[in-house]
Amino acid sequence: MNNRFKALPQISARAVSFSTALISFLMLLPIAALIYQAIAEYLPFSSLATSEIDDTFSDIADTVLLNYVSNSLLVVTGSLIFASLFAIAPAWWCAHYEFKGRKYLQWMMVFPLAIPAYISAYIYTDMLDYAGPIQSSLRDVFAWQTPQDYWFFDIRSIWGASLMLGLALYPYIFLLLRNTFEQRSQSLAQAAQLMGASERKIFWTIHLPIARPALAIGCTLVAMESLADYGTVQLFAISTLTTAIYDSWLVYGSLASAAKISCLTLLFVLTLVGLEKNSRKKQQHFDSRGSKPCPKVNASKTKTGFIWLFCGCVFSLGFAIPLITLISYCFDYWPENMNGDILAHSQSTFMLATVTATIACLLAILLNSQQRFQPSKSNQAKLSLSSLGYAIPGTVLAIGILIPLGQLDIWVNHFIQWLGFDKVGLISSGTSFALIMAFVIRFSAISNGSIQAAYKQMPDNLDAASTMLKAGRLKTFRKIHLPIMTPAIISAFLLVFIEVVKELPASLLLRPFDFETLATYVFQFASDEQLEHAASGALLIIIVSLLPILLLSRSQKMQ
Amino acid sequence: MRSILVFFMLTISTLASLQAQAEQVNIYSFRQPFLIDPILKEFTAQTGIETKVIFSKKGLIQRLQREGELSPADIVLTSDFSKMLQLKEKGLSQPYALSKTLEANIPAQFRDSENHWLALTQRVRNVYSSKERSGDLSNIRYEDLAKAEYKGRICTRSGKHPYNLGLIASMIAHHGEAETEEWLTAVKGNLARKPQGNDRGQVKAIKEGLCDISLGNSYYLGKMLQDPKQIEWANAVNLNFPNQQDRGSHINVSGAIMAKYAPHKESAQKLIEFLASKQAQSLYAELNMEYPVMPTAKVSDLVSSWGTFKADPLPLEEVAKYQKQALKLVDKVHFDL
Repeated sequence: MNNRFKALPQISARAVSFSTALISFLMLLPIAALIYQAIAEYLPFSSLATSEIDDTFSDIADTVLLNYVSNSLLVVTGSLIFASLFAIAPAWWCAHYEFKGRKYLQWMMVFPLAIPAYISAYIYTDMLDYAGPIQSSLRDVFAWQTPQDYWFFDIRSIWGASLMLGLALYPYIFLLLRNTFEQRSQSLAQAAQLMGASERKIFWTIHLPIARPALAIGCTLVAMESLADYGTVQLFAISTLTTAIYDSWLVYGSLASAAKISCLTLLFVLTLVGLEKNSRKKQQHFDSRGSKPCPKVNASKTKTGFIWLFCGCVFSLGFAIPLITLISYCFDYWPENMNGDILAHSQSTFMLATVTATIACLLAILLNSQQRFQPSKSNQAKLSLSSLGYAIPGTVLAIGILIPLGQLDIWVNHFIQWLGFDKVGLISSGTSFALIMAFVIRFSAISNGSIQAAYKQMPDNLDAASTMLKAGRLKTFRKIHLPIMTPAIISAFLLVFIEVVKELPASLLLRPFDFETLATYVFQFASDEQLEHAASGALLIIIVSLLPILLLSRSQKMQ
Repeated sequence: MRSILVFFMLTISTLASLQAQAEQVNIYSFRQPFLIDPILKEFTAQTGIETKVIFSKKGLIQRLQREGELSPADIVLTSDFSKMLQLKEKGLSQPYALSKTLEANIPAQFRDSENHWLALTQRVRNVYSSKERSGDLSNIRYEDLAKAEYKGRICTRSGKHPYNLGLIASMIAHHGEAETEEWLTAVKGNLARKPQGNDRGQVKAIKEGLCDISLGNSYYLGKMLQDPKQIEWANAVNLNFPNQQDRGSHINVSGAIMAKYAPHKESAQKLIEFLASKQAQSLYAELNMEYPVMPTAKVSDLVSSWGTFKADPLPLEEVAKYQKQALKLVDKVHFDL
């Protein structure tokens, strides 16, 4: 009896350690393939691969690369500014104040997440362009004739793209921050109050710094997502690093230089993440005894009004206006939009998203809890490495996956043929397996981030107490960690789910025959600037992504 | 553990669904499904061969390359010639059998000399001009777009779009690189706005008075005339066929090519034959309002109302040689920035 109890955790610890290593290896595979591709020509044995010299990278570097880099940095900075502007204050208000309709508002603020940036970008371009209804009616009213007669905000600019990305991505920061603010402990604020600190000062010196892990993770997500964005910048004709990757690979036909630029992008992300981690290395959380979450403060009428005004504006810009426009497109082009295929596409999208989100969450829990129980550099490395996929643009990741999976298929087929059977074809790279793998790799950063934030919030002495009571790791996890981080797991699941529903470039390249997701269906029209004809599909993307949000809001209300 | 199980089960289920079906042909398509669906349906109705399609505007060649000999693709349908030539150059294609029908229906300049690719429709790079503000431009030449009189009056989509790259490559083929660079720099200087949007968007901009002339393929005019909202854009412009007095307008083609490792080669050959038949040629051209490559195939009434035109006789293979140079020029003169 005794022996069994002692032996069990050891074996499982080793098994866990091995499986997490395997997982992070698998998740790194496409990146390794890319890096190999980037440096292959410099390797001594590569001469057999390519005989001609590929000078695409130096051509791009000589002419436009610098512009691309600076545009990318500007878009990322701009999106971060807008996203923080839209997220931080509302997250604080929803967590700190009690006001009329707070319950609704805090979920409404998440809705814009359901609309892919490229769809709202399309809609706003249509609306705010020179030829759009707003400028046209302004011209009618003021009798302006030419574009030289007046100045108008140019939506197809770096700031326009940042605004679109900010509107589509701010809910990441909002969700993570609100969770953190809700769980902030009362005692620190009370201590500060006793010392006579003003409410504003408490926010800036206590609550915000304590929420820094969540804020940092949210900002990193937004930065990576906007760095990897292709749809929006493409629509706005802004050339960024992603454009350079696409161009050099798909137009110049040079995978090597695409891989080099991808590595450059990766370097940016690594620096970003490293700087952020390093700066809050010394931060640690010590829970004060008996601390309860702060009670909410009643907001005055003016404050409530202001909160609703601000959040209402963000909500309409990010959700209501695009939604209403899509609905009106739908009615204007009714026959084109009423198409039986759409239901089938939404079903397959829903399945795909559920499977991916489940896997991503399980992996995130596994990796994070391992780091929790056995904090070590190697476990931390596994965790960070498995989040890297998020920084790679979808198309590049798709290729990164096709390289090893294609090779695997070749081996499998040779093996099967050697056994005397018929070849089975592309069993891994030509099926939904490749698609799910791509999604898991790409979106693990989201589930990892969200669960990591939950763990950071969880004081270490809870584990110590549990160990004192002779509870094993599994029990500690089941009885303590899991209940505490259930909200984080749910939101991780939802975020991944929504991302999968919206994901476009990797789906385009990796999906098997006769398989459409809603996004690929909508895109074939949007890419031809005819989103109007697929407005119903776009609406379904929104509904499918909204469902989990609504479910979550229901379950939280019941608590 | 559970995740591994899920992976496993998914793989098995997809494997099961992969079981080879009776007769089918797999298509990688750069052309949007709604353009080719009616033709493929007709093909299935006539031959009983099922068609399966993957559509993507980008990356299909790279996908083929990666899949290698295991690729399920039989046919690739492209929307411009550079992709067909790339496929051949990368050794991703194989020759089709040049049957009597193919030889009779498709003129030699629209077929690869080694029977790797086959053009299906022609698409002209036209100049659209404002009815109100541009006057008669029916004698315009591509070279004229560099003239000072058009300063701030030209709109176009990205210089890196295959349609524009094809045009720039043909300029290099006719005038050499140095002169084309000068021309492209001057055209960039004449632009009313940064290159953006698609060909239709430029016509919309003409309608709204943002610019006076734009580059665009002719079939977009037909598509806009069919759309209740876009018809007023179309009505604001004239369609001009450039260089009619000298070498003729630059044309691009859409086409089909047989994949090197096509698992259903026979069905693929049948599809190619079908696409080159008079019926499919008329249907294909009519659906997208393009010009069929088969001289006797019917052009839609609307398209024939635009009149006949002289096409640049320079072989496409000749133009395609300069595709990469064209791309480098676009970057060099910062055309899109």
